[in-house]
Amino acid sequence: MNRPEPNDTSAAPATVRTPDEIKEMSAIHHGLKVLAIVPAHNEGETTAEVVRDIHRLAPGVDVVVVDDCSSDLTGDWARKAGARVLPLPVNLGIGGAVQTGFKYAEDHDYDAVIQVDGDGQHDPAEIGLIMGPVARGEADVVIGSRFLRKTAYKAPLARRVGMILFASVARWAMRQKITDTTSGFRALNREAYRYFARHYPTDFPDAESLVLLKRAAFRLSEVSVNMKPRKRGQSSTTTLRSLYYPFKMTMAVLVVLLREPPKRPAGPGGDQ
Amino acid sequence: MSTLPFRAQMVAACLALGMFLLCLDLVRRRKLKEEYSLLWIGVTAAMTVLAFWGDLLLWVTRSVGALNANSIIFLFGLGFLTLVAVHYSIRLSELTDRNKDLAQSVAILASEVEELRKNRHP
Repeated sequence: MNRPEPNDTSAAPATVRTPDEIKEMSAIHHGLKVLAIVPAHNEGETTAEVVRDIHRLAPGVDVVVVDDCSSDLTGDWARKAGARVLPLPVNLGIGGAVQTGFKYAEDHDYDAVIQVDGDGQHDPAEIGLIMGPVARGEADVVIGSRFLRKTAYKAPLARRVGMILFASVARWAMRQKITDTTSGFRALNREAYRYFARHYPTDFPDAESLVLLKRAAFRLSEVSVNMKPRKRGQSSTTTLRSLYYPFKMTMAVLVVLLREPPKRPAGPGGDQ
Repeated sequence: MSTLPFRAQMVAACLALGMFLLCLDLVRRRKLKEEYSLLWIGVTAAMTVLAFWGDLLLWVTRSVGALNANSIIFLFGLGFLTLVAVHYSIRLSELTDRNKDLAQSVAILASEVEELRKNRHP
């Protein structure tokens, strides 16, 4: 695996795409009714740019911005950019925000959802790429991985340590090699997002949610994506939180393993 | 036979009575749910029983293997408070979860309202 070395400062060239991948990217939503969920907290105009990018690079995909009680005008900017905005009255953190999107998608009967971070790290042009396996029924959840191949992405040190640690814990817990457990660029089919609408860890949702999915027998796969450095704003993981992160994550993953996974809703379209 | 001097018994009884009255008043003013008042009234009852039924206190002390009846009172007191704290943590987690669900519903409904308004006054 080509994980970037911790002190590799040389920017790797952008990934060269094969013709198949280019075809996949241009299929965008693969004929499905797809919702892009963009969680945002004090991102200013950046989220609006993300919305415009999605409209431009992934036409036909609906966009909903979950405004996690921002104190700036994140929501207004996003509205102006043409997104539907779900304004949370209290700050719930990234997990609670994303879950709001899942619930909205369930209300509006979307075939699949795409999670895209509101800080401009993800390239909407790659939506088609991570939608592919979901649309073809090859996977229930597809993770856009920064580490599957060598890409230009470079995370801050504290976050990287956390990511590497938890990649190994999660890998052990899932018995499947997931190279990027903290990616917020994911595609989920109806069954998977409906499951998450009911059961979603809210604190540090990334790795824990993957273990939960695996335990509930959903099929996970990864595709390689390029990640841009965030345009502005703070990562939800600050220094203090990255100290708390290893503890909470290990605990969360162990607890998920210890308890029975919550039941999946019965059948496609079946209600609980 | 009593392990506590008369004066101490009286003090315990007054404290228990005071707490009992406080509980009743809080429930009357709807500051405390009946569910919780039951718990605290139970505490006052236990205090009274232990204060006046010295033999029970002695028996508990002996069967636990403690040397001093006082330490037993403190042991139970601390144990009880710990349980109450754990209980509160559980309730807090529950409330956090409900709070989250409510906030999410509010967000979704707010966007639906916005959409409806926009369609009514284009």
